[in-house]
Amino acid sequence: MEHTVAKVETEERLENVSFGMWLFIASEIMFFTAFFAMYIIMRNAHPELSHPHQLNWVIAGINTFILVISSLFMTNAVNASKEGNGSRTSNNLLVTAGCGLAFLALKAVEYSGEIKEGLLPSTNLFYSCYYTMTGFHGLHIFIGVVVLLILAMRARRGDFTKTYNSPVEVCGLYWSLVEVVWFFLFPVLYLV
Amino acid sequence: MSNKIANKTAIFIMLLAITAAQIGLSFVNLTPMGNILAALLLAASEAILVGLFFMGLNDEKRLIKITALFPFVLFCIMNGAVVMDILVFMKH
Repeated sequence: MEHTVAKVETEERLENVSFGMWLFIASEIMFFTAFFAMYIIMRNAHPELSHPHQLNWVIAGINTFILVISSLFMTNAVNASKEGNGSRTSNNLLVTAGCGLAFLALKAVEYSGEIKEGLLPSTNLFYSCYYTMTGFHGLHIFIGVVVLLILAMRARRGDFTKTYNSPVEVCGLYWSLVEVVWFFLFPVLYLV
Repeated sequence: MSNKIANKTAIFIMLLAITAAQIGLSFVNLTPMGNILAALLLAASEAILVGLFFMGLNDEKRLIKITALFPFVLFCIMNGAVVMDILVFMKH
């Protein structure tokens, strides 16, 4: 006979999980900070390589909209998991993952357009920076989507309760991080 | 709960408005460095909104607030130093 015991998190464990995630977020922000500094230096050294709106800013603008919407669904998922509502948590996580996939699909369209025009990372320093910064950001989105799908499956199975929901909460923090990074990438690379 | 949802919707609208402002400002010539600084300031305001309301920093303990603030201070120091360096270089 199998016994299932509902997981319960102590206040101390919750604090530790949250603190660990915030430390990870801090290291990620510093990781991207180095890229921004590199970009500003490159841009000053070679002003002729970049000019406003040279990349597809319309697609990037739509992607910004998609990420902002996804964060609404992510916060809904976090709230639902705190209420122990597995199906609502799962649905919101799936919509968030769908938004992430839409973001990646549009990014692929954008990349393919540039590659068709022969604009590759080796074209010049601007495109090296552009592909590096957006590529790493896209990788973060992809990892987020995989985690969201796993969590959605677990939520559907009823793994998250009122007393155990830290994975969803921590994933929410991660998703907000990728959104914040995009808020800086979008204007700096696409608009100015 | 409904109050919380209303707050989140208000933040959502503000984020969209700031993005629209960023796009609008990019068509105004504020000098290349001015445009970058304006874009970074608007992006920072979006990051603050997301941090406070979507990531729940508003309700977190002091240790978490400091941990979250720390990389932004480093971000400002590093990029501020780069911008200052460029401005001094341009003067000479």
